[in-house]
Amino acid sequence: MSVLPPDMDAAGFAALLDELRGAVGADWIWSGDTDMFPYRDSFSPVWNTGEERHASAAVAPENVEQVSAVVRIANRHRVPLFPISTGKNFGYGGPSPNVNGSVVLDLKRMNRVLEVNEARNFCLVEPGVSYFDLYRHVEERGLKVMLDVPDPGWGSPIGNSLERGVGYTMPHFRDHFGAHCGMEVVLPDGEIMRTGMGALPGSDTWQEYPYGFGPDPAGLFAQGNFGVVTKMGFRLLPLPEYYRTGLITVRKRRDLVKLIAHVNYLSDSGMVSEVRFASPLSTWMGDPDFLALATKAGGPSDTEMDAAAETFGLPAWAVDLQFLGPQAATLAQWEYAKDRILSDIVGAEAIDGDHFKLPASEEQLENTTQPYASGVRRRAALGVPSLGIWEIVRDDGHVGFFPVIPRDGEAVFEAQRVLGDAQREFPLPPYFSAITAPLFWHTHTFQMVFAPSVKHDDPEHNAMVHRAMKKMVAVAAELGWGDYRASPIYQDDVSATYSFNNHVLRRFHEQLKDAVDPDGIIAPGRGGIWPRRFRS
Amino acid sequence: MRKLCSLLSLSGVLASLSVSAQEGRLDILRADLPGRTVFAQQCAPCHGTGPGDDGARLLPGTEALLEKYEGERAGELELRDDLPAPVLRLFVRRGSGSMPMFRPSELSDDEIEQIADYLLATARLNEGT
Repeated sequence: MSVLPPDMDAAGFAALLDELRGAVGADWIWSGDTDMFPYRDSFSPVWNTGEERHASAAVAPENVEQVSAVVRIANRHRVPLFPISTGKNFGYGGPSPNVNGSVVLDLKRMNRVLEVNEARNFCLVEPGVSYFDLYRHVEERGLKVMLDVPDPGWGSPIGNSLERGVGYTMPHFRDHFGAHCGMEVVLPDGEIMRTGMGALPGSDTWQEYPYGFGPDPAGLFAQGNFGVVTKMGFRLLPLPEYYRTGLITVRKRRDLVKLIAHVNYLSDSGMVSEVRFASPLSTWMGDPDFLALATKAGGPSDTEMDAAAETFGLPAWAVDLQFLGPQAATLAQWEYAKDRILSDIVGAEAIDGDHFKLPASEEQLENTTQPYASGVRRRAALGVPSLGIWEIVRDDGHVGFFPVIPRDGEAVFEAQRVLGDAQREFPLPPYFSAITAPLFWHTHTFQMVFAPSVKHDDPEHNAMVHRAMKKMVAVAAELGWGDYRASPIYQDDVSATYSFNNHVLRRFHEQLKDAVDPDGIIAPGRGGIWPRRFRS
Repeated sequence: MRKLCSLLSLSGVLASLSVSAQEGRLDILRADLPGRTVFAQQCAPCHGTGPGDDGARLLPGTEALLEKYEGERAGELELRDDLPAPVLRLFVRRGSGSMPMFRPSELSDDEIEQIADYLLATARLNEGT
């Protein structure tokens, strides 16, 4: 489906492409149905419908000077650009834009690892560098640092962090945007800016002190549309000496409240890496009677759930704990965690898990010797990028809704009930039920997951999923649980829920956008921020 | 088999048993062609010969193809001799099921040709094994 940029005719489009060819070379411009097919969102629930967003062309510069030139050309032609890094933002729109006819600014060719500093524990990369690339760079040089990778690993540190993606190691590295330090940005007028210490000529602390002097605009470039990030620094964890795991189980449903409080203490004190909560009762969700109980309208009572657990001979909840550090320290932390939790929660039990020196062997990475059922993905837990997670992708992909929920057991129970009831009208697997465990990915908060699949050849199914997504966003927001990230087709819905004081946050963003990019050259609509030209 | 290896070596296509983590742990002969590195970096993380993560039998792409063809064709792309460049290009650019499309900025047409050459040579190296 060929489309043209907004307010542009075919002759203007041809002139635009000619200028872009002059800037980056004829081999790095694509347009037309065939060439633009890979720029569609293959996970889209509005696939082949009027709501699907299509780009008109794609341009792939190889350096920041070419990015600047492309932005200046786009300004002259008043054409919106949609920057992508590796384009693997699946479940959140992939490489497809907010505005039909946008030109994708494909940064994949900018794939240099500019520095990995193992003495000061940081790296500086370009947008086209994937986690696989960065890991290979570290491994080939034997550098003693651990990455914090999302799953799958074909995304880029820059793209993932700008989407506020997460990983699975120590708390302050899992928040990828929070772990960044310093960025280079091409502004909407084509000027090249550096944040923090990068603004000080001669500074050697760009990747160590993020603020420099004065206001720090770095946050505007995450889920925003105020510039094109062309370099970004990240803090790295020094390669820990040892990895240790252990499982703690609690018997009663309501024990989760205390368990979460203890885990919060352990995590906020820097004692544990990522933790995984789970309910061992999930193994009985194939049983129709238990399924009916766990998904009961209004939620089952604690007594009912405890009776079921007793019948099955299973604990109500379990938490996988992981420790990174010196061997003796990981042992002391695990012993402390056991003592702290088991002495406070009646019936709690602990099982020692795998533990070994790092770096892990290939056999240890395969994670086949854990003495208990575990939801931990070993490679991700140790910063090793992988595509193994793709095993969970069904049909033609999925959408994703991950509401942010307080790190509190009572809030988890409430989210189970409210979101479980909200999804009942849709013929989907029970994403929310009395056994749904919180995800502890971001450093200081919980999330839950709603990720129904999409099917290219089943528009009725996709339409149902589309309705379900919008409903879940709205219902969650009524309880104060906002989505943290969204596909372009949902960004306005999500943005609208952050409505304190008559949407002043969005209005402030729009004021900024109007000031620096009134024509909407950089990703108009991204993050729910529309410039004046498109608002009218 | 030995004859094939010899022919390929004589024509400059050297084979080796060495494997990287990305290629997987199944020891198959691999043709030392330019496409080997491209395949290892771009395809093997999902379509390699190794096990999947955390006890999974196979990597996701390999498992999916094994299920799709119900054993009539190998799940491992490196054991397939029926994937010439035009066929590969179709799957790469159009995607298939849960496999998304790959853009020319990340995998060029020339690299797809290299992968096709590598897969054919590798499949022939392992015929009968």
